[in-house]
Amino acid sequence: MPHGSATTSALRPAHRPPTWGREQPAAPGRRLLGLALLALAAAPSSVHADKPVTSPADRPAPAPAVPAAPAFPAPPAHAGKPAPRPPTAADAVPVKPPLVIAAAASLTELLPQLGRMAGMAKAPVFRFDATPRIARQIETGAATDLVFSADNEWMDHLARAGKIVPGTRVDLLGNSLVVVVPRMSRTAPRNPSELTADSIERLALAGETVPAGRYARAALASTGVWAKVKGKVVSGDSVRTALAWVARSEASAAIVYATDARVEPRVKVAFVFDAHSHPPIVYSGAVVKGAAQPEEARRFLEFFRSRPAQALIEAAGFSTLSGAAPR
Amino acid sequence: MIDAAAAIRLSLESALVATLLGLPLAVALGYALARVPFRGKAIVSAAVVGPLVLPPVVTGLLLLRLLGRQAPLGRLLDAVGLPVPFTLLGVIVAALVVGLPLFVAAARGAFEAIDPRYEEVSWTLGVSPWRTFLTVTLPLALPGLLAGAVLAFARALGEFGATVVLAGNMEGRTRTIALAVYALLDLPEGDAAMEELVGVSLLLALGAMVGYEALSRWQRRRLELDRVDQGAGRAAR
Repeated sequence: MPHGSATTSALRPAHRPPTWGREQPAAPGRRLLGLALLALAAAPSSVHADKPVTSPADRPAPAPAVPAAPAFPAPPAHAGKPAPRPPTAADAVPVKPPLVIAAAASLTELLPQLGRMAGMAKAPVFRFDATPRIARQIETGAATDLVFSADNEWMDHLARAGKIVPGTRVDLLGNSLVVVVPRMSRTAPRNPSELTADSIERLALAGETVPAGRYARAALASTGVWAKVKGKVVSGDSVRTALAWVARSEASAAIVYATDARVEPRVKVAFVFDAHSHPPIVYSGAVVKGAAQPEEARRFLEFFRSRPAQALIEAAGFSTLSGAAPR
Repeated sequence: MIDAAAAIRLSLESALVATLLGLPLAVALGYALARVPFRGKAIVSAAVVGPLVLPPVVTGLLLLRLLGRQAPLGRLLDAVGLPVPFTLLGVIVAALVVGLPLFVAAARGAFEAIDPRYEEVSWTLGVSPWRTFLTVTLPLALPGLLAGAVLAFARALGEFGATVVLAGNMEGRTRTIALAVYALLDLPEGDAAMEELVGVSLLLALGAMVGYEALSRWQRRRLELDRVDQGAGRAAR
């Protein structure tokens, strides 16, 4: 990718109609921390932005085990541009505020790594939560530069409400749906029809209102087993509750995202649902209307297309979208 | 997708059953803590208050551990056809456990406020302790017990954390008002049904507060009046 010349329009355009994604509750501590940081970031500051975003000196080293990162492109258009806020006397030393990013909780591990790799002048501030809650925060005007949604329905909702910058929305990565069983379990279903077996006493799903729950129900319906397993389905609020029940052997199996299965050592993957058995699971990002740093936000979205970013996404268990990566 | 009426019905039913089940427990524990000297009282007292100070999600996890299939008690309940996790019984158990501290505290306060001499007089007149309890102590503590019941009922209605971990969030089975509102937050089009449930919650909470206040006053007035009578009696002598 030539530095500084790529534009978001070159990315795969976001498709509208499908309405799915995922979410889980964020760790409460993280959430509080995020809020505290957000409060700091939102506090009136004398900050403005004349400094080019990156220079090789202040760029942190890229994450290990990943090919050398191309520089986070610093477009010439931005350098020397007047700051969005009028400068004040206190602005003798211009300091760039960190990028404020609100993102689906399932990206909690991945995004900070990508942020470090992108080599921004200042580490971004993240706010992770379930997509619906992220969307509701942005709807009510929480200061945010960039939003990452696990759910197209909510991105559509934000677009309709005029809360994202038109043309900046891009599909970034995907996830898959798996069946997990307790790690010590001797019998593991090998395909959807084996979920109807008596050895599966309780099948845990995320709630029908959250994307993970909708995908799981769609997958069971399209594979023709929903009517037979319906009676033993137990469901909690989020996909992580379902995961916790299997980890404690209270449920015999659960349908969760591939990336969730990786973070819980007490479960093992029994089988992966065919990608065509459920609506595509697509994560998208967009620049928030009224962002303090729309240019930097846009560049972070572009960074997803770079080869090291794509490698990291795959290493975390997500899938890259065809056409998103430069070949 | 989310039936508000079913959630309201489920909430009221489970809170009512939890309160009724809690009544004998609260009376027994409240009376024991107020009147009966025994070893380990501080421990019992602390154990009862526990769910009030523990995060409800933690309470739910502990209950899941105790009543789930991995535990002997859970397996026993399962074997006799009373499985607790993921059932209405789980909702009731969660509501009972989180509401009990308030219930016991109210009952204890009600019993402590009664002058022990009434009971002593009754005993000296040859009435058995059990009948004394039923005919003297219990009627005097009644308003305080009812106030505790209202508090426990209201707390049960508001229960969320322990319920969602122990019983899940299943339409028509374990989805109470609190869980339904939470599920509606996840739906972009959920606002209308949410308003309805929020309105019902506010009304129920208001009713509970008014009821609690009225019952507490009744209790105070009853005991104050008793004291006034006593004073008048003494003056007449």
